[in-house]
Amino acid sequence: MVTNLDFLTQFTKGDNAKIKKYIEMYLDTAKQKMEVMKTALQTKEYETLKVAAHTMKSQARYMGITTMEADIVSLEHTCTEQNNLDQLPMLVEKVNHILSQSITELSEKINSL
Amino acid sequence: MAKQERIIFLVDDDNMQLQMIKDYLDERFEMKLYQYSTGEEALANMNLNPEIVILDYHLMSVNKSAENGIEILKKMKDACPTAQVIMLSGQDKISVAVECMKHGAYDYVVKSESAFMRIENIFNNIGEHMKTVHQLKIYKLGFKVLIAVLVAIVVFAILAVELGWAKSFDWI
Repeated sequence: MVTNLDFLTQFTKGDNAKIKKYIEMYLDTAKQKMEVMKTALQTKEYETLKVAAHTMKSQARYMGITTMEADIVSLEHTCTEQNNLDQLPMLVEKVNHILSQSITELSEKINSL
Repeated sequence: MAKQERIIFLVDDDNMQLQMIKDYLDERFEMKLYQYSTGEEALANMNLNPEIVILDYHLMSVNKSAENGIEILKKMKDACPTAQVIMLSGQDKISVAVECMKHGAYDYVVKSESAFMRIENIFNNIGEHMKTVHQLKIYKLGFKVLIAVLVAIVVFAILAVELGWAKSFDWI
């Protein structure tokens, strides 16, 4: 499991309708930003890539995803400095893998709410 | 007299963040909250005289031509110096926080699980600060009135002595 809804449950005081609302917002953003990151990597639009990763950083925190924060920080840093650009495909792959896993887990969760 | 409503601006291009802060504050404070996804939209409405603005540092994830939070912060403080601006950012960098404070931000909050409680505390602090400022204004006004009355009494006493009015008060 990459997600943990402890914070969201506490934040909403266990209100399933609100949990569902936030998860749906997360799913929309995550799916969209995954595509943005893939495309921006191919077209070498590093600022776009950085901004997309940055948005996912805070949203992932609320879904209890802790495993990709270090990779997102590295990705943002690499895009800003434009050094070690050869690391970017690996970082995007890692981040997108975790996002993809989170989408699967949270989609299942929504169905059970 | 009706209590003046607190006007709050919330500026963030991240829908989920916007909604979470709104829900959290709605449960705790009586206020009129306006939401904007760009700083430009918020700037165009500064005539509403917001007491507090929660402003995202990065405002370019949806609209790439949107101005950055720090530029918006400077313009907001020019347009409405009394507005207390809380900067919100995903970056936990001291240099960014210092830069924001230098340009007049009231506080800097990192987007994390504790951000909501921090914003709540800052709201309470600002409320207390505003109360103190209001009381100070009343004390200042009272002090000015007192000085004016004292000056008037002294002037009257001098005139009374100089013009011989004092005799007409002999009966007192």
